[in-house]
Amino acid sequence: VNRADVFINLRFDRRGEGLYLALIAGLVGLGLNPRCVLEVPRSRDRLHRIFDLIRGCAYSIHDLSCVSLATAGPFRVPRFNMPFELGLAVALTLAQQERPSRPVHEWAVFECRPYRLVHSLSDLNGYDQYTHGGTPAGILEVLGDLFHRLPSPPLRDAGDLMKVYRHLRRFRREALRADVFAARPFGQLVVAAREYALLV
Amino acid sequence: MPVTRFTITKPPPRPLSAAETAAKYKLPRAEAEAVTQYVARDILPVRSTPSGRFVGRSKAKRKVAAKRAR
Repeated sequence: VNRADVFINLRFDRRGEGLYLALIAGLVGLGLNPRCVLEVPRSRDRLHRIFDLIRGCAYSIHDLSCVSLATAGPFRVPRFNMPFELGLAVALTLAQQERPSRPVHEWAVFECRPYRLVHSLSDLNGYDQYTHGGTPAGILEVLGDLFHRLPSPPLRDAGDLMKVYRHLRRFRREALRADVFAARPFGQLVVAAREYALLV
Repeated sequence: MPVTRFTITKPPPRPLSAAETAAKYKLPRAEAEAVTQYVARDILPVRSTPSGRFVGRSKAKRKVAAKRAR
């Protein structure tokens, strides 16, 4: 398990792009490494690889704010990938808690509105949700709160993390192609965020 | 609603350098260097070169600087 790796689970589409960039900027600013399913090639054993990726991360963040009914396509169903991956992380934690000698995976759920999780996933009643209001500033704020106990991160101040986010947003606009939800642009964004975090 | 923070039982290792990050994310060296160069150029304030070109920051900011200089 890499103590600096954080699995991020969110909706990979244009609507969620601001939150995606904010998560990358915030985590890299805190000295951590965002990891996500975009790094996993599409193959038959994809599920195993996703589980291995989550298992290799000390923490995971699951943003369920974009789970809603589809507006296009033949079926009006929500995408279940994000809650499913949250389930994998929760199962991993529960299994690890039975063997206390091993480090336990920690997970957190992000939502845009207070108490939305209580209605969408009542199995998690009693667990806290982090409310970010659907904004990048909100994401950076809750990240700072979630990782409050990190000893001496490179950046801690929300203003500094916001600077990294703004630079990263411009980098995305000027240097990357239309689709940023793939392994290569994801890596480029993380490298750019790392450089910006050193320079702001 | 009060929230539970991550416990962070062991501190994470030191942050990776840009080169180590590129290797971790399997980014080809040329692409990683292009990103590094873009950031270095972007983070500098806009300035004019002896040839009259404006370098640094974003394209939009270079345009503004060129307009102001005219």
